[in-house]
Amino acid sequence: MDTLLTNQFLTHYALAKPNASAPAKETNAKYFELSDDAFLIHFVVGDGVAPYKNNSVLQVKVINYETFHIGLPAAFTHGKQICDLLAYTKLVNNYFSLNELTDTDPAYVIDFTNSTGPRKGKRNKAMDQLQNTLSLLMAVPDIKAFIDNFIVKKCCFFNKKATPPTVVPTILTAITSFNRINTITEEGFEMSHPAIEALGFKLFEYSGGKAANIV
Amino acid sequence: MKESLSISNLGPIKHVELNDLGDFIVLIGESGSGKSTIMKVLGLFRWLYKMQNIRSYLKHSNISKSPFKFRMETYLKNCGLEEFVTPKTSIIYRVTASSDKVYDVKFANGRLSGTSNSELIYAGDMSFIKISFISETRNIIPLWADKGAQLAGGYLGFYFHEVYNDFELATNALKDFNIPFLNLKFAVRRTSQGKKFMIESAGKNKYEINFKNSSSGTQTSIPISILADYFSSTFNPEEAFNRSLFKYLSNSDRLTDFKPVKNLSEIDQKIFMHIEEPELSLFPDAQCMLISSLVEKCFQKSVHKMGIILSTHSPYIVNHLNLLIKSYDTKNDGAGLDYEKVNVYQVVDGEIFDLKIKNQRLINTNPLSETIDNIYKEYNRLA
Repeated sequence: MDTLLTNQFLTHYALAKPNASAPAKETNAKYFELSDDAFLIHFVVGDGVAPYKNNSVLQVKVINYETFHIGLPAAFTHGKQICDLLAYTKLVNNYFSLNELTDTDPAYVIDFTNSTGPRKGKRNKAMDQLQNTLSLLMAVPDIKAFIDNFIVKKCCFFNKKATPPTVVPTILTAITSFNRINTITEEGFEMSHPAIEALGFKLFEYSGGKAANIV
Repeated sequence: MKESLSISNLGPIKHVELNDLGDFIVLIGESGSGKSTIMKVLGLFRWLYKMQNIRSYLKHSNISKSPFKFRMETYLKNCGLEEFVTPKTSIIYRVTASSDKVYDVKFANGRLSGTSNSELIYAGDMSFIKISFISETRNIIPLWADKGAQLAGGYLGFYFHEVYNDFELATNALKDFNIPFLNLKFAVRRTSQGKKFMIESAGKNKYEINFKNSSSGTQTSIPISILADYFSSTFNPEEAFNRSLFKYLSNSDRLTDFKPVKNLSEIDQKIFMHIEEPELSLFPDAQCMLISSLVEKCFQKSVHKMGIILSTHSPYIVNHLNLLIKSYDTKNDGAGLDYEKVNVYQVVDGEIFDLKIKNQRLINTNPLSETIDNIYKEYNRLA
């Protein structure tokens, strides 16, 4: 996939080659968490943002798409909303996902102590980022052909929830109460998104520490 | 009948597609996102379809002269949508009848279609629809009812008078009405000066006050409860349809030509309630109980087919839907909602997102939890 990005993607959009290639890492660990920092993959629970279960110990490659995108010419990147990471199984065409990790984006955490005006919620912003990245990738014929071969294709929105306040612990239960829906089931929530579904993908939300399954 | 609605380029709405509308529809979204616009458009186009049904019934019953004309400009003005309309505005309301025939009422390029004499609804597909729009202005009802005589001729907008007229009809058929979720009784006293509305406590501390002096939550929730009760039980659709028919027949003076094409009892009937912010001024527990009582009345005990669409900012109401769905699925006693008949949409940036979780029988309530998350993320940051 990284070759497709640095060759076919750039050719398709007539872009100059960026100075650095997209950061990428691999793992076949049974459990790992993704983050959009230099580590990309963490193995300790809670260190990352997007938990993944990989019970079949498949070889998984993770590419920091956002870093790749930022390295492209400004005329191309300007105004484009894109997601953070791509993750896919390497030796078998089982699983391909686009991932947006919202916890790390303070721009969408509203500071209610300042009247800065309404902002688009992080959930809707994340869906736009996933859809736009998917559209960009699937418009490149060779990338589309590569992705279409995968059995499971997902756009994943990982939404790490706030932890209860540490200063006034246990008394305030609002966060826990409002987020109880995320404890009803271990599975991610499959949401309707006609534009994403039209490209052969399904949209999943993983809130409150839910893990995506690589099958 | 199956309904769908498509709106493009109307005020805050960029493009919205609501397909195969369920019996219970909930719209959430920020203030000004377009929830009320969607509800008003749906209410207006349901009304246009209703009128086309009346026109079709009269035509099929040998009344050749058209009994009325549609005046879209007036309707848009009445609904407060006039300023939202641009040359690019397009609205398509589609009904798929049980015969699978499709009927479109369409507004595009400033013109209305699907309502002419050449676009009649087949006799077998005709239906009678009652539309009730309970706007957020319902909190003026108690004062208006009390001062009605002095305020004769006053005008508080189309939607207020629509809901007030329905409230009048409902309270004509009513004497006492229990409101369990407020532990109150609503009483209608008939005096020489007309009807008087009183609120009686059902608790230990007995008191009785005029409706206009009751709490704000009482004033906003009682019209909803009373109308739901009226439309689900006492309201007679055949009588209402007859009234509509004879109004137009007497206007056109063609009563002798009238040969009814079908008995009214054979015509499909459905009552639609459109409710703006049912939670207004209510404590969270009462919000949930109000929704439960609506669901019980309109879907479990109603003698008529009913549909409800409501807009809300309440995370309690949206979370409560999951309990109602679970209650239905587990055949629990009390209120329950069929997941298949529920739609919950978030209106944002002129579009909608479906909040029904596809792989669970749940509604995704997380969009309404973001505020709490943000509050405590900021709290943790400051700490």
